[in-house]
Amino acid sequence: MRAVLSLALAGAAVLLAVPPAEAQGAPADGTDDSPHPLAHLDAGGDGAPRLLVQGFGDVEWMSVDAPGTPSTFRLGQLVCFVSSRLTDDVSALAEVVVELDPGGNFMTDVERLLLTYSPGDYLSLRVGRYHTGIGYYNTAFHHGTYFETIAGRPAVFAFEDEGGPLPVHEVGLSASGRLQVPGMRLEYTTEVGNGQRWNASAGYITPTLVDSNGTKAVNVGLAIEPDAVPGLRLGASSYRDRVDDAGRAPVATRYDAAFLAYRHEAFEARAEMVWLHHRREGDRAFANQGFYIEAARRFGAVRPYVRYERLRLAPDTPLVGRLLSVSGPTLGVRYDPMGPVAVKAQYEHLGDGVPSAVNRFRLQLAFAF
Amino acid sequence: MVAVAIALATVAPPLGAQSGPDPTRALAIIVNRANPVERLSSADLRRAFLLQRQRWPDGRKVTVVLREEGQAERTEALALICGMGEAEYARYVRQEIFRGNVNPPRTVRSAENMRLFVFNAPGAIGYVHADEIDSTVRVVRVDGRLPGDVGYPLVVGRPSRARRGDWLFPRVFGLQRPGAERP
Repeated sequence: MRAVLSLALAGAAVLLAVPPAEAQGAPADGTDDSPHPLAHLDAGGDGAPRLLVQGFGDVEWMSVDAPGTPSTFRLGQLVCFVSSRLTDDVSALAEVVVELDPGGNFMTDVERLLLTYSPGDYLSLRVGRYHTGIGYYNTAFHHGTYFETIAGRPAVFAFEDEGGPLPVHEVGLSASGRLQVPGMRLEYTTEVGNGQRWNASAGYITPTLVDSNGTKAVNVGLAIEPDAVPGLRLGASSYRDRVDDAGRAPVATRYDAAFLAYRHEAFEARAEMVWLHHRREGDRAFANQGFYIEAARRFGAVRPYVRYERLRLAPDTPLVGRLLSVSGPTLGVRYDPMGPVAVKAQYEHLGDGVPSAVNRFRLQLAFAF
Repeated sequence: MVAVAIALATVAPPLGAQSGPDPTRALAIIVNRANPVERLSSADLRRAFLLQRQRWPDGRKVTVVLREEGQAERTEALALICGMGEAEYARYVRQEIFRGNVNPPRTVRSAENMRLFVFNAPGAIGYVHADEIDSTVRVVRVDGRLPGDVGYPLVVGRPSRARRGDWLFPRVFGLQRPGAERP
């Protein structure tokens, strides 16, 4: 933990130490894209130096109808995000999250730390720690709950330390790009990383900061955005790895995902399916599935939403069989009363992975600053 | 006959005015005069203002310039180009920054400042009303049309193309919504 914290502080220090291009006196003579000399007078502030700092937080109140489970307030994640454009082609970002563990102790994690080289829309090379490009949700939403329309990620895309079955984070190299072809835009993603290992003491998979078995995890993804339907995105991805399992035979994993996402004007909808394949060496293969479908419609500052999700994990599946299965609907409403502040109230009916179906009510206050 | 002609001239607007939008109420998309781009599709324009297009064909960074928050020109542009309101666009830009985009939109206070910014920044793209165009900037054709042309998509007070259904229905299903204007 101390090493992670040191890394976070070092990363933040490096980022803060590098003055943005404008602060170094970039010319405003029409030879580059520096802001117009009048831009700094604008109240909007967008003409400010391009060192961007953002914070996110959330607080919840939760009530479950399971016996012996009291209603509770819950402090969510405090997210510190810094990004900077170092040159026209190079940028850096860091996302550090502070949160309480179940024992009441604060944990600090570097969730993302990336140096990006992007000579054009056709290529962005990233090195560091990133969110894997599995499907849609994991690339669209990171740790700031303010951006998520619904409180809580779908179970299949839950973070590793919250019982999620997928490798949400990765340390390695990523290449992605966007290409305009007749009638649509094409986006590709390829990633090579250290992969995961099974954390026996914690009971979940965790990204390896240093590769433990020499097998690199590989992920490829492809998405299209048709010109004819603005806001529509369709895509698929496939992730492969070989995971060590604390003294037992390693497990070959493959996660295939397909998604459809639509966001335009007042309406947004997403549907995504993930196939999870696991096979311990010398043993039979297991195939499990998880999916979610969700939609929301905005009426002014109010946005009712609905989600249905299902994650079925056979108990004898290597690694993830020990995680909870989940299925059920979520119904709720999001209210954005002012600026970057959102209030989400939702009812969830959870089945499958718990001894009996339970009903849960969540009230979340999420904000950015 | 003379009476009928006078009546028609009094009651009905000239045919030219019926077939084309009022050019002063159209939003003109402007770029630096050195920018080689002469035309954009509505989809490309939307992607640029949604920060999804980072570079021009000559390699320069795309810099989106908007009027200040709360100004009518900004609200009009966000609705016509992006199909979004102010709050939704602000949330969207924050999310793009959070995803790693390090080139957020710039804001300016007036049409004059908009033209000055675009004049000085070769990669800038902005907008002014059609009657505010001058020779310091270049107007880009949108879907092959200039402000004042019949079917120009960025006319203030008219719903965006997507809202009218021009996108989804004719192009995907070969149909036309009742009352929708054919581009």
